[in-house]
Amino acid sequence: MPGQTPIYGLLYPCSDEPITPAAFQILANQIDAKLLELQGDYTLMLNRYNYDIESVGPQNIAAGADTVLTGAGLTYTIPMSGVYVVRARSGGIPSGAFSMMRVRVRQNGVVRFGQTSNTEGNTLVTPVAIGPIVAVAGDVITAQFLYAGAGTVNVFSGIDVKMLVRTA
Amino acid sequence: MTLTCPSDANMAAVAKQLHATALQAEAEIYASEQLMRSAVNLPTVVVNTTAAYTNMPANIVNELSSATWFTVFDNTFGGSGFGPQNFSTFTQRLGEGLYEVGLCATFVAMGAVNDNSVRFINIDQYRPDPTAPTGESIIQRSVYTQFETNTGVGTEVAFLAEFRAKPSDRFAFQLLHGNTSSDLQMNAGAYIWASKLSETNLTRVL
Repeated sequence: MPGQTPIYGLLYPCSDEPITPAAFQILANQIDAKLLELQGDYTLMLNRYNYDIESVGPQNIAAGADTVLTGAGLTYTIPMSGVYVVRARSGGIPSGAFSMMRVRVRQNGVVRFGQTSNTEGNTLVTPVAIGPIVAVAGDVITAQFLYAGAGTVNVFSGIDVKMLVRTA
Repeated sequence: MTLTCPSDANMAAVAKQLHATALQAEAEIYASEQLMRSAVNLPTVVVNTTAAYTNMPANIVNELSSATWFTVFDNTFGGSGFGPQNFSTFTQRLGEGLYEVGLCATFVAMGAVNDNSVRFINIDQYRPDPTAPTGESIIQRSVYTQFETNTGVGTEVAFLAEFRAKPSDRFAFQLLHGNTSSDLQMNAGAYIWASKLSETNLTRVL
């Protein structure tokens, strides 16, 4: 019965076993595979996951309707489990009066944090929310926008996502 | 990585040599893996609240760290005693360096709302100073200023700032507001967090 190393389980023959070329091949292939994984770590070390997108076209939103932003690229699927910093921004000048704007960041549809802006006097102050999200691979990051006032607004939005920590 | 090879004299101990080779390869790969993982993973602490923090009066500095905080994520090597309530002294564990520190919270009035009243949300960095009346001096203040809109949603803040900090520093998270008609509360689900971007004298690739 071969032995194995304590961390990665690399196989080696025990002293009472016959030695065949296969023993060398197995160990060589296992080392090769670990070195390939290490290449992945090296790539990630130099190229931390970063994502930044601005919506190409506006999204029309009615006053009082807390609306998920659906522009191309505004839905981000977490590629690797870890801790990320997510920033979302959204705004535009409504057709009617507007006193408040808010953008919120969601993880799998659950609101995690947001930012409001006081826009009384119809002064555009684009809300920008930034905060941490602890995520697993496959989690979906989206944003939603709300404004208080009248009429509708064509909003332009953006999100960016930066990995701080890998947990996988 | 250089691994030793069996010589003519110990061909009878091939099994033992393979064992040694496997252990040697594992040690070399593990060391490299840990170095690279360490480079990828910024030391980071995230804490949050699961209940509202209530009764924050107007016109005084309310210390948000007095709320009950729970650890959401912590990949730092800490000893015992560094619980979420000691978050403000995270630099003691993580050492001198450049930090990104943030706060996410929603503040709502517990009673009447004063339209357009101010909300100052501070992240303050303090350093021990024996010459100061309180024994510490403020090094840097990052303020986010909001004005209540009285539209039923309160005020939500989610911001961060960068600080160059020493191990003895502490951070305070504060609310000062002008809603004189009633106290404010911080809703459940608030976050404070810190991530060490870099040692003081080294530049990290971000």
